[in-house]
Amino acid sequence: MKDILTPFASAGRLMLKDDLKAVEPQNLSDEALVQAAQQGSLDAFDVLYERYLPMVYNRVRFTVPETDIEDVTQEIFIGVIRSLKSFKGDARFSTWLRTLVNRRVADYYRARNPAETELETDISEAESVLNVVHVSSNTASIDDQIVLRRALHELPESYQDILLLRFVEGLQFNEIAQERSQSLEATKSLFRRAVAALRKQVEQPDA
Amino acid sequence: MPDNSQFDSSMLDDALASFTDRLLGGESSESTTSDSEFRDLQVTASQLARALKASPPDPAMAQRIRASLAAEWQRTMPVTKKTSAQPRAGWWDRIRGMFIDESDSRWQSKRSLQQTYGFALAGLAAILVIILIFTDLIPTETLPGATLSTPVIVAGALIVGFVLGAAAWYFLRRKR
Repeated sequence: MKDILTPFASAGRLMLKDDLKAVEPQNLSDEALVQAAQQGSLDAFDVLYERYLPMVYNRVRFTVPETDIEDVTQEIFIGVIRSLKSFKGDARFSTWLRTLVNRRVADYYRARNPAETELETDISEAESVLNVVHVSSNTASIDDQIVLRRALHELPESYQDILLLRFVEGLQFNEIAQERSQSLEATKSLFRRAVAALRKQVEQPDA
Repeated sequence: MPDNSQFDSSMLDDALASFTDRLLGGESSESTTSDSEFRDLQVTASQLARALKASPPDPAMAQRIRASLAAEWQRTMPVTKKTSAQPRAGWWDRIRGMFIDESDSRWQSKRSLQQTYGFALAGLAAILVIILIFTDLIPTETLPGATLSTPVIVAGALIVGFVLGAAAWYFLRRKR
């Protein structure tokens, strides 16, 4: 996702609420929107919400049971509102937001009974996969996808993260490298190790 | 694309990344390599591409979340920012504000405050006139009704003071 630099952002001055009236908020960079939201602009926050809801939703969709997707997504954005003042702009907003998503998903699993989670995950994964799988898909491929998603949950966070960035968010490898502040080579290497680890997890789920 | 040679790890990284780019770009995901490790990775990447298809959030859900966020926003981001951002009023503005109401929302309480200060001003003016008369700073002989008794003079001064105070209050109100 490319940010569009505005005169406000490029001039390096703070974005004021009144500035939003002069520029289409949809055209503002994340940073300019965050600054306006920090000053109390709900309009600016709304644009950020529109911009990042698909990313947050899809990340959550592949990491928590179907029944809790809406609640967790909502809690993440509530967390954004509550933490907005503390965002200093040291990292990109998207990076900061992904950290919040990962933390919230981790809290979600920490707070739940493992047995309950496993049962719900089985059912909801089946429902979720059935919702997206094409009508012509056979039972074997549906089973494969359920197994794959379950295996994904078992991977270390860095592996899950890079697979979600590439497959779910559709970021190119150079964009992922920027996002993770690492070299392109290191990014591709991490990706290959993540795919290999997933394969191993699918073949030996208890390993 | 690498084929049946042995891959070192960096070649494997590049080859899998290229394969994934083609796969997600909609090109054929047919494997042509004889390297078993690379072929396994290709198969897993293909499965991932099928299993992790992104989809847009349900609009109704997005709307429900937006409504909750708006409520949370009102709770978390107080409007105090607006008042603190206003410039601090000068001393004259603050005194003037005691008499002249510039806020519609607080109109009721301001009005009673204005009346209080109006009466206080009238009383103050009356006391001032009495003091001036009794300290002979104003030659009472020159005033109309100089032959009147002291209680009448006091009553007259009170009336004059009240009229002056009321006039001052009315004048300030009209400037609004």
